[in-house]
Amino acid sequence: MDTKLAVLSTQFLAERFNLTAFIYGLVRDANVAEDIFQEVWIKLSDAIRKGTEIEDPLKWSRGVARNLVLRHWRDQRTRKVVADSELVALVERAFEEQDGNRNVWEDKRRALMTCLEKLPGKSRDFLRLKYEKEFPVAKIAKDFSKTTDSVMKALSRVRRSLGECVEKTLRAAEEGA
Amino acid sequence: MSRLEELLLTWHEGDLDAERTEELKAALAHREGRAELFEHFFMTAAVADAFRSQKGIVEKSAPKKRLIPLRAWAAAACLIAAVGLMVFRSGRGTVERLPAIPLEGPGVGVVLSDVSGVVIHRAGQEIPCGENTSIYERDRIETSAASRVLMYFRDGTSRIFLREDTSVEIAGVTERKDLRLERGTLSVMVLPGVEARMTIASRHADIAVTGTRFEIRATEDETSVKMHRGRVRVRTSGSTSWTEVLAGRTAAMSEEKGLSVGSLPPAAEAGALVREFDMPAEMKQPGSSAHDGLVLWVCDRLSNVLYKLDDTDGRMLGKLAIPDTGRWPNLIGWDGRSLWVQNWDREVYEVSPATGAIRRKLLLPMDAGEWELYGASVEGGSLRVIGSPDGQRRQKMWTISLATGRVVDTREYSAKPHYFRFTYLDEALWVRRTTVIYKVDPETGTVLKQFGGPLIHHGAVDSDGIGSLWNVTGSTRKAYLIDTGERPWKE
Repeated sequence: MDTKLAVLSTQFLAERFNLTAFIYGLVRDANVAEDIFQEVWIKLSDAIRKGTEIEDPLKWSRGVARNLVLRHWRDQRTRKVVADSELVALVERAFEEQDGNRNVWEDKRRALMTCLEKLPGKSRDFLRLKYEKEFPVAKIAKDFSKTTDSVMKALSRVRRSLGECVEKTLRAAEEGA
Repeated sequence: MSRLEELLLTWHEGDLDAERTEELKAALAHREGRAELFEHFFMTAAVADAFRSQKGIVEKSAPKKRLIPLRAWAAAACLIAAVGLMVFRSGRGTVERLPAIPLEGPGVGVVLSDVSGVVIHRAGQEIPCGENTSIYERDRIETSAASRVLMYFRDGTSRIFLREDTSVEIAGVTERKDLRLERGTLSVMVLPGVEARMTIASRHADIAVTGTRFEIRATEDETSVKMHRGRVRVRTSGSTSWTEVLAGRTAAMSEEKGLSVGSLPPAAEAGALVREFDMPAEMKQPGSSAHDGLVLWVCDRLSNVLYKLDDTDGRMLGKLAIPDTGRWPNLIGWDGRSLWVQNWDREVYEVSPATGAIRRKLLLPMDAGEWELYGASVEGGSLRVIGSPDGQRRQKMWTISLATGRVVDTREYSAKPHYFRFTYLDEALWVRRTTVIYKVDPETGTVLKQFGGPLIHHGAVDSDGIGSLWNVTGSTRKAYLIDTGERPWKE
């Protein structure tokens, strides 16, 4: 592996969470996200080998991922997805705007782990079904004999409570420091 | 709940219509909206990551422990890419020998699957049959119209899948295994070797077996055989002359018509869907699969559980916990005796299909810093591993002896495609990349043929051993059997 590629791969892997959060948020399927992530790496390493100058590998990779996500959506004609390139471009922009806050988000991610531990069992069950098992809200609602709307609201409440916990944890850490 | 959050949740449910898409885009035109979206995506990925991590969430009541920071969300979502970090250590692998756990126990065999509706007749009595019930010589095993059962012989040479409404007696096991099929259908896997010799007798026929895979069905009127691998000899009852039946052929024997031979249906067009079925609902994340000749094993890589599924309809026949196989295990094959699992930490385990016990642990020969590992596959007595030093042009395949853990062959390729998910079947590599499957010459890396389309899904591929590929994917939580357009026998 040449030096440039080795350096690049280190950078690329350091940004893994950010990039996969972008991909996974769009495709919501761990396997597909996995494949797209691979494709991005191949294209990036290929570009480097061809001598392409890449100023910001994360931004470049996100652009490639965006195109691959759109391609994936086009291929999934049977699934209900919105293959709207304008919408994806807005998501990409949202990520770009946070590129300067990477350390903040990394701290938040760690705090989130602690906060998840503190969640009541039922809240955790909701999250688990939604984000681990990737069940549709309608299925969760059926399993819990609730309406779709009430599950959506419950998810929103749990997410908000997690967000508040993250802020509180970070504040406590700052004060402790 | 804010309107934007509602729209985001709706979007991810797949229910965003054109009007609400425009509304979402309008909300994201503002920086605050985009910040909220980022936070939403970030939290979704982080929560998913935490749950997908085996060391993720501990129960509130459990003693607090410091959670290991996530290596990366990609650990779950980007397993193979992260496996790219796995690197080859040196030309030689190491085998860590752990105590072998054979199929020890009383009797000549054992039933190992869903046993509801299965009865064992022993010395004139009906013995209740449960998982792990031992089978003795002279036992007759009977399935009901709705039950199926897997039976393993203790010596490890033969496995039999009794389909619905089947009755078979273990008539003798002294010099060879003698079975008497009274009615019904058996799928049979017999390893090569003298010690594995078996005969199956029915009302209409005798079948002599050494090393093969086939299906036999006995009805009132006839007994028929479908040969998938190897060969058997058959004769009608009372006859003294044997007829050899090879893979790809069929034989039917009856009192009225005697013996008639034919052929199995020809291969379909490459890429044609043979069948599909759903994964068990309880699986967290259906991952890779391995077909052992009788059943399809699918690994739930989040819970370290192997599911044993009937390959005809996906019915769950049993499951095995493999808690000691480390993080994010993937099934990489079946060697005729054991299942093989590879985990995130570049460890390969030989797993007993009967108990889930680890028979051996093998560390891949990896050279840190130089080689990225793309995929692995076990077939027969070999483990094949493919990696690349540069992620792109050069790729290398190591063939490692499962017996010794040593590299016995290496090949370098320069051709595309990249061999991410592959299986080895009949001296060819079958590689899935995106929604295309490539048949590749393992000697040269040359693509021999390719096919694809919407039927091919993201996920692992594994051979069924007789001309089709299993493609199990978490995307749709289904297993797809795709015809390669070829058969291991001459058509």
